[in-house]
Amino acid sequence: MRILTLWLHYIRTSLIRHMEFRAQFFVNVALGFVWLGFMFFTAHLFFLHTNEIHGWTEIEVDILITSWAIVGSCVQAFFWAGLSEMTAQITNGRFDFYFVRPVHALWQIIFSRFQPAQVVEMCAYGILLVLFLAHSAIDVTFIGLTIYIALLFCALLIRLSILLMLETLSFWFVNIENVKYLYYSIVDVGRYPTVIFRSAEVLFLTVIPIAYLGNVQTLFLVGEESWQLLIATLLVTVISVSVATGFFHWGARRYSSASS
Amino acid sequence: MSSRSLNWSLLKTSVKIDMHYRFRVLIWMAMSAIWVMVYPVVWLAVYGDRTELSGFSRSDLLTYFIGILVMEYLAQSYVDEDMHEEIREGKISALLLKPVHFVRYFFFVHIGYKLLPLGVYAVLITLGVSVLDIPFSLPTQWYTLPVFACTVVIGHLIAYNLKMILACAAFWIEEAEPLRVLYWIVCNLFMGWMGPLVFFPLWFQQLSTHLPWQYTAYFPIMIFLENVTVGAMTYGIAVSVVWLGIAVAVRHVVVRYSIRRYNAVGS
Repeated sequence: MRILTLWLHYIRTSLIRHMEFRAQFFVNVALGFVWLGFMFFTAHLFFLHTNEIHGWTEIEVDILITSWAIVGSCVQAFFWAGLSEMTAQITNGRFDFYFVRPVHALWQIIFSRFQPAQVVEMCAYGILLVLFLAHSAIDVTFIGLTIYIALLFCALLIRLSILLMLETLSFWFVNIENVKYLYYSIVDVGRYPTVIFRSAEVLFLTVIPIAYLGNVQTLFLVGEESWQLLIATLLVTVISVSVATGFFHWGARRYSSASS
Repeated sequence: MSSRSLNWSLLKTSVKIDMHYRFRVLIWMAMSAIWVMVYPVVWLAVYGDRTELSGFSRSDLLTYFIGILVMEYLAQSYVDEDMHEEIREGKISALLLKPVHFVRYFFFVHIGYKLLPLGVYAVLITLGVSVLDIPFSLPTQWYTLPVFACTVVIGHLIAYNLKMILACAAFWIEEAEPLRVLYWIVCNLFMGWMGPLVFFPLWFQQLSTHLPWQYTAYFPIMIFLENVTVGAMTYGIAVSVVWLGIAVAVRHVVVRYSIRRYNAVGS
């Protein structure tokens, strides 16, 4: 309960801060829509030359991109601003503050900042998903939708784990603020059907779990589900979260502040 | 210190910084490589059983994306990222006091930053083409390489000047990040980062001919691939020179007026 109150307090202070720069908020919302247009333009470009890519039709790819983007904007809204600052804070020693407060450092890093513009973006993606499903012949069942939402939550945890693992590298390497761009380039692969990567698909289903950031969810939604895939997703999520938090704790033990 | 030795010192300093922060350089390289490797895979999936698409063979496509990877370092500029932070945090004050103009300073510093990754890429690409037998189309005409080199230089100067104009936005607005992201999207679309522009709709191709970005990557690579006629090559070079002139003139004015607005953090 105390944690929830603290999180709501973080949300409130972030909102107040963002409302001070209202123009910035609208610019970020507008930028989100430009980004959305860019992603669908890319997908449309591929389908100018073909009707399907390794069995994936255009509408299925659109659903894949939307699913991928819903999770992406959720990460951006609730977790990105705090986590992506980790490298800079470790480099300049401000990370000390997280350890002296009576709440777990990792919890503070993940939940301390909130970006409201990305919530608008997330809602837009949600509406788009409904529109895509309405215009397709896909028959969505209640169970299918429930599993889809649960799998989106798994995708969220996997994304956070990837970001946390990359940011944790800052405990060993100095001045690597660019690691957040590496995160973008890694997760960006997840907005394409991973089947096109042929032999690398195995890699994306195991070591670098980007197949679970949108591909698996879309397969379940379009009715190409398999129980093996569902179990694999749950398993990969648990492993990713465990490895990421374990890696963070291991790295945190090395932390000696910037000036000490 | 003479002008040449000053430039040389700036270059050397950047290389030394790169050598010190090797992991940071590795991250940049990995990031570019991942981004550039994804598109050819997607396009090859689009090819399906076809041997060519809009006049592009599979070998041309792979050469094109290797070219994009190299052009990312040869012709593109990321001066806006550094300058944005320097202006926001007031660190540019120190730079304004130095006996070298910051436009020149960043130009040579950023060229220096490219040398180490380019060297590594040169080795990796040579190994990939010779050992792993990755299909790679080499030019056959004697004039291709000199013209390619000229267009790379022009492309880099266009990119640098445009990015310098963009970087100056930080003198005027508190948070220029959205503007930078917007520029990134437009630039990537028109420079041919996602794929050869011949794969794009006709209206897009026609529009991109009149814009500066394709001359910073797509055009030089098409020259390397010998996929342009002599007439189109001449026209392209003429347009890129005009864009270079415009970019330099606008950058000159923008930098001049931007510095006047600067009042440093805390002052």
